[in-house]
Amino acid sequence: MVKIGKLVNYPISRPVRVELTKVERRLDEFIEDVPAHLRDKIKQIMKAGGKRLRPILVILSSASSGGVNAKTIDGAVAVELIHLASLIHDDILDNASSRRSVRTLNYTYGHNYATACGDYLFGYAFDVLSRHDDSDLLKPLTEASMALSIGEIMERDMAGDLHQNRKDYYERIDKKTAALFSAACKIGAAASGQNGDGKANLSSYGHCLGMAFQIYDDVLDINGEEEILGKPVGNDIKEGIVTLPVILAVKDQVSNEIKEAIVDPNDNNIIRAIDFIKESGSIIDSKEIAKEFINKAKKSIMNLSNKKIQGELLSIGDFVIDRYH
Amino acid sequence: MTKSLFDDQLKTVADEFSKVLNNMIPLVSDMDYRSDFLLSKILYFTSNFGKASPKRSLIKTALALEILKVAIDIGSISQNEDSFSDDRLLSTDYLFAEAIGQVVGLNKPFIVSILAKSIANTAANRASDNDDNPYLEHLIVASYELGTRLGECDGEVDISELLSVSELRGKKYIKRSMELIY
Repeated sequence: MVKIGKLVNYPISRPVRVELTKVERRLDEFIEDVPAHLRDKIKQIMKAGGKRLRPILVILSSASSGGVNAKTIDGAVAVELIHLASLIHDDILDNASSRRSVRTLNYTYGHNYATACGDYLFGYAFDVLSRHDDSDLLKPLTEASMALSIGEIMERDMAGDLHQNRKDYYERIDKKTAALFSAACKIGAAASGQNGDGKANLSSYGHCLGMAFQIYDDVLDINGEEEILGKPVGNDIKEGIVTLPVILAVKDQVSNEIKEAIVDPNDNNIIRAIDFIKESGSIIDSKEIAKEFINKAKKSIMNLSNKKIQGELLSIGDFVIDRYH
Repeated sequence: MTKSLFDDQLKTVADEFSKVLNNMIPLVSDMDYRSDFLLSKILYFTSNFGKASPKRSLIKTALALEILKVAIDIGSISQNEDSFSDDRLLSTDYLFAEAIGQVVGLNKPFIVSILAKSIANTAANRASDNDDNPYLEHLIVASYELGTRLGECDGEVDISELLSVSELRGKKYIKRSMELIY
C-alpha cells in the first residue's frame, strides 16, 4: 500500500505526484526485500516522512528533457536510500535521540545495529542502480557517496574550531550536502539520456540548491522551533559543529558565550550562545547568503527549454529558503 | 598451487593496494593494515577457469574487494569490542565509497551490483542476533562470482581446493561461504 499523504502536503511534491508514487512503491518493494530482522527498523526510518526532495530533483531533471522512465524511478530510489543511510549514520555521530519526531535507530537499538542498517541501505542503493547497466547513473552516486563521507570527516575534524572561515564551511557543506543534490540532478539527466550543457546546468542548479539547503538547515538549528523541526534546536553547537551563523557571529567579535557552549554544552550555555548568535544579526546574513545561492541556482537553469519543469525547479528554490523544517 | 600460478598478479594487486591505502584519509592510511589477499586469490583463481582475462578489470576488482575487506574488518573490531567508535564508522563509510569508486569507471555495472549486494548482506549479518556471525562469507562469495563473470567461465568452478589450502583453513565462515556458493 503506497502512502504518500505526508508527501503531497509539500507544494513541491504535487507536480510529480504520479512519479513520486512510483518511487514510494519501489521503496515499499525494497522494504519487502529487506531481511526480516531489519525490516521494521528500516521501515520506521523510511516512513517517518521527509520531503523526498532529492527524488523530486531526479524526477524533474529527467522530465526536463526526454521524460521519466524506469531508470529515473530507480535513480530517485537510490538517491533517497543513500540520503537515508547518511541520516542514520549522522544520528549515530551526533548521538541524536530523535529525528522528524521519531526515535532514532541508534537511540532505540544501539550504535552497531544502526550502523548496519545504514550500511544495508548504502549497499542496496548501488544494487538498485546497477541493474540498469548504465555507468552514467552510477558515477554521480559514487562520487556523491565519497564526498558525503569526506564531508562528514571534515565536520568532525573541524568540530569546535572557531577559527574556520566561510571557505572552510562551504567546502564542507558542498561535500556533505550539495554533492548529493547535484548527483540527483545528474542522475535524472542521465536517465533521460541528457548530456553536455543541459546536464551540467542541472548539476550546477543542484549544487547551488544543496548549498542553500544546508545553510538554511543550519539557520533552523538555531532559529527553528523544536516541535516543528522534530529535533532539538542548538544541536550543532552541542556537537561543536561550527556553522555559517556561528562563523558570521564571531567574525568581528570574540564570543565567550559560544566558546563556553562548545566546551560545556549544557542547556543554559546553549541558550546563551543561541541568544548571542541571534543578536549578532548573523541569522539574517546567513539567510541572505542562502538566497544568493538560490539565485545562482535559478540562473543555472535559465536556458532550460521545458518551461513547465523550469518553473517547478524555480519554485523548489523558493521552498528551500522559505521553510520551517 | 595458487601461489605459483598467481604470484605476479597478486604482487601487482598488493602494490596497488598499498598505494591506494597510503593515499586514503589518515583515519585509514595510519592503520598499518595488512591483508591476506584471500579475496584476490579467489578472484584470480576463479577467473583463470574462463576464457577471458581482463587484466585491468581484475586488478580494479581485486582492489575493491580488498578495500571492502578493510571496511568489514574495521566493523568487526568495532562490534567485537562492544565499544563504538566514530572514527570506525567514518572510515567504513569512506571505504565503501572508495571500493565502489575503484570499479565504477570500468563500465561493468555487474561488478558494482555484486559488491553492493555483498555490502548489504554483510550488514544484514552484522545486525543479526546470531552470535556465530561470519562477516566475510559474502565477500568470499562475491569474489567467486566476480571471478566467474570476469573470466567468462562456463559452468561451475570448484574453489574448494583453494579454500582448503588457504591460511584461513578451519575458519567458520569458509564452510558457510561454500554453502552459499554451491
